[in-house]
Amino acid sequence: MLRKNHLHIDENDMISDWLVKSMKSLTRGTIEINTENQPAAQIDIFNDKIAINLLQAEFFRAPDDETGLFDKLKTSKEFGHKLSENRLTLSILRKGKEAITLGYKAKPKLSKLITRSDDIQIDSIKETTELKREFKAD
Amino acid sequence: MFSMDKNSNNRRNDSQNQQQQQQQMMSSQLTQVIGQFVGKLVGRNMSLTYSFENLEIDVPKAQGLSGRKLGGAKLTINGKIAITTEMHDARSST
Repeated sequence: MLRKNHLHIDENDMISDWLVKSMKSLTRGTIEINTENQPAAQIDIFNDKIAINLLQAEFFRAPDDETGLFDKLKTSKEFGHKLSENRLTLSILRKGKEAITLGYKAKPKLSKLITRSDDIQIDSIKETTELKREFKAD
Repeated sequence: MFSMDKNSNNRRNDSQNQQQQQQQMMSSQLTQVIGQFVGKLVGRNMSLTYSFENLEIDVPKAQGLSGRKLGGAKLTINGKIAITTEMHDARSST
């Protein structure tokens, strides 16, 4: 059943297919996003691994979203599985510290008890909790 | 016999409709999430700078209209894109 606070993606969903294909076509390099001359995020791409370093996570907060984008991503088993199928790894860092890894190189141990997925690894409960708080609307 | 067939057909149609509705909900949820993210990246009333450093993009080979083969490409992007947006009240300008 579809739950409000989880991001469920159908196996044949065209948008997620397009998203994963676009991610796959980026082979290496760096993108820095600055807002008002302050770094907001840095994206590093190398060898099928995309690392998103959120330097100002509050910047990506959605004002009318009670759950928060990060929480939805954290619980998206289907998206993690789709990344694994395409041998892609998405790593989310908070201010340089690894918080969560989704996809091919995710090797969950204890975090599998929380996410119930082989494709989502919580690297740091502390950073994950902080990101969850920063992403959520007030 | 005929009414049983009709009932099972109706049930099948109902379940197909439910599946389609669920798929649409899932797609719209992802679209909403991507929309929120892109909305943030495009920004409102702010300045955003994207700096690209040796960003390599592999454009795969594809088949175009009427079976025409489109060659692949490798793009490398270096440089900055600055976007500054301002919001105006449309009512006050009229």
